[in-house]
Amino acid sequence: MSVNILGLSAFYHDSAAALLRDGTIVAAAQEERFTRRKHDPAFPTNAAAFCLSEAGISAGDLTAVAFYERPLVKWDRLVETFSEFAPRGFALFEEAMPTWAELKLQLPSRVRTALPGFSGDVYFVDHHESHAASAFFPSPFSEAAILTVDAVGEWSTSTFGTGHGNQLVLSHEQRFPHSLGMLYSAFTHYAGFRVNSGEYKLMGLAPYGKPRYVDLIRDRLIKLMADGSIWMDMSYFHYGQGLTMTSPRFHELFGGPPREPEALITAKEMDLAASIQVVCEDAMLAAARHLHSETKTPNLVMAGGVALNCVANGRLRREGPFENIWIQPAAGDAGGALGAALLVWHREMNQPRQPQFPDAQSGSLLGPKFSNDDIGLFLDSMGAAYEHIPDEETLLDRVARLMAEEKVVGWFQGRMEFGPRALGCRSIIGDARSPRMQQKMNVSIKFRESFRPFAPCILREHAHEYFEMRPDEESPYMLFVAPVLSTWRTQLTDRDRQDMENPDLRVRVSVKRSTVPAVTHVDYSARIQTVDEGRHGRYYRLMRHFHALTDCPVIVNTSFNIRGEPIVCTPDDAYRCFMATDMDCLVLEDHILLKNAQTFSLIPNIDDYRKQYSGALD
Amino acid sequence: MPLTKPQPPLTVSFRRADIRALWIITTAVFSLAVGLAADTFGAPMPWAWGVAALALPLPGLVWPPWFRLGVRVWNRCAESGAAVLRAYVLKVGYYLLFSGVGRTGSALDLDLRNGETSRWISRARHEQTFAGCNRPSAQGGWWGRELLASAGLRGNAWQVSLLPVMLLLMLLRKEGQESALPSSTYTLY
Repeated sequence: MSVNILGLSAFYHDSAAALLRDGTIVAAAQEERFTRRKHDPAFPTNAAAFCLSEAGISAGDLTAVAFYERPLVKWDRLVETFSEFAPRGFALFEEAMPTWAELKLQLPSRVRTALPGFSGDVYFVDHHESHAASAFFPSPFSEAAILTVDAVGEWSTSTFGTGHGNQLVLSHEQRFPHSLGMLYSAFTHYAGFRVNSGEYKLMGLAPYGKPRYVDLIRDRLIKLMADGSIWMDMSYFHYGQGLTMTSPRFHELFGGPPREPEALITAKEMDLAASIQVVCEDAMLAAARHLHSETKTPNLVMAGGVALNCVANGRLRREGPFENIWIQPAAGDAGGALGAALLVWHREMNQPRQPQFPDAQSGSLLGPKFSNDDIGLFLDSMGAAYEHIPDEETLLDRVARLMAEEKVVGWFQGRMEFGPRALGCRSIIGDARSPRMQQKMNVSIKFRESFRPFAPCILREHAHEYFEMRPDEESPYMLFVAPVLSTWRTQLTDRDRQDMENPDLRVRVSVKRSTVPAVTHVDYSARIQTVDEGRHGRYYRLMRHFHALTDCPVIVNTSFNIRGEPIVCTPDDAYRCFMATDMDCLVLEDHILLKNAQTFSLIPNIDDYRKQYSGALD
Repeated sequence: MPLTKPQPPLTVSFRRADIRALWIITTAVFSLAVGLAADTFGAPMPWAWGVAALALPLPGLVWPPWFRLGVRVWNRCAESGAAVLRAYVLKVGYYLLFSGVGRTGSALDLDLRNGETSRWISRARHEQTFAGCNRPSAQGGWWGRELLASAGLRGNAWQVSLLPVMLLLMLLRKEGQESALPSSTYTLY
């Protein structure tokens, strides 16, 4: 009889469920994709239902459920924090306690109520062990050093240790409130972006600035030790006692209050972003060097929210001591669901582990998929004008030609991605050579601030020809940034240099810096996804067609959504997003839809569509 | 996998028949209370006061808008009352308990020691303390007992005094509380 373990993460941000059958990952998905609420923290009812349905089982067939945190240990940290900051922390207490009384203290019974028929054990796994397990067990290594860095779990804010075979030991930790993730989030807040979701914007803003605050941060806010651990002066921070990250003393130090959201981004925010990015990278590098000296292994695995900082990851790869690095693609809390289940399988049930090559994550394509029959029926029901092209060669050739004509394509195929990145199954794609592509995608399709370039997808075998990467290196989960090789960089004209000083960042980012301008940032860096046939199948073959047609192995890839909207899950979501935006073409498996062939009356009002997500977290 | 997003399950907290039953009982109790009050204060014909008091809620049984208004007023009063009580319980819980306990210090290590060269600490020390939390939970174990056992393990038996606060907060719960997600701070709790 099979052993089925359901992993869950919930009630903080990015709720998710993952299902293991006899140690193999069967399915995993984030709740937000089903509820259409970005970073949905609710119990992952829909994601769990999907996982069970994918495995063809009911809750009664589950052997165990693994929750990614230990609530009572977190409670302990919370109580100690209230004790430390009393009587100044009432605002936080007032916010936290009702939630704990109504929900979090009753998690075991809540889990059972949500899974009727389930009678097995519920395991509560340490937050950072969940991260560590999500990084080590699916990795291709039989032995590796493990580094987890996030804001905070129960007490730990970062940990390190080793994994060997089916064993995993986290030997050291840093404890709340000293946290690299919190430090980064504090600057995210101060720069006017949303905490928990705007960190990647701060990272994208960093290349515009000069790191002139690094010394100030290191002298006044923190002490960065040689081994990568940090101490934080809590008089500059407010998260231990209030509902903001930074204190008045912090604001005084940096010359004013936090930027209002949506206000103009000034040189100050850019310099702050550049500075905290340098501090973050330095801390990560120092921690990695310390870890390497302790473990002497050539392999490193990482997880935790800070492991999504792909600029730091890129630097770690280029300058760090480890030969090989593998990072869990769902490195944030969603991945904790997967890690918790894996830890129960290997540790609690003492099951052996056989590392798989290239990894056991299946390209992180672990979500729902839809058949051509269902899609055809759906399109008919919508009255959509479409073409069914069952021959793959014909379909791919057609799409590649459309892309070469600078058309923007909504690409929906196979299983949905697990994790924050669209990796070629729920993606909007286009021609990276087009100087207009970036602006078109940003303004007419994504409706977002356009100071960030898009990510390139490149055929795996050509990655080292375009970017500073070793021929044997890959980045299949878009988790590493690397510079564009000088061969492909273009000379800036006087006009370009003038534009680079423009206060409007959209002007700066639109300056053509390389032969693939849509994916090249102002510092010539790019957030790369390498695409290979084994993981990506049809998407890889599409890129081969595009390469054959244009002699360019690079395309633009961005997530299939608009600003504030979760990445599309179903053909319905994809169709609505396609119709509401200026996308030129939509490919749903073997079906192709052209915007100019659609009936005008079916096109929804874009403002109504955007309104649905206007209050959402980006 | 359905093509369209699943609809949330339809949930109704109370059946209409239950509300009507409650309305009738409340009417009777209200009438009795007014009659008794009239008698206590020496009003003439206290039974007449009781009958007169029926005039206020009774039409609700035959005229739905009046019934709906009554339920709405009741709910609003209950919500406001619960909010006031919740704020009171929270303030008493915090300022009485934590201000006192806080004077004895906490487990947060905020100070930088002279010559300190590392903030990495061994997990072994804390894992001993928290070992019990990682085991499979007991079937249907009451959360209060688990909380006290966990707190006792770490020498924090004073948390027993937090139990009444948590129980009261549970009773005075606010609908939709779990969906709150502040944007200006990390969700520490």
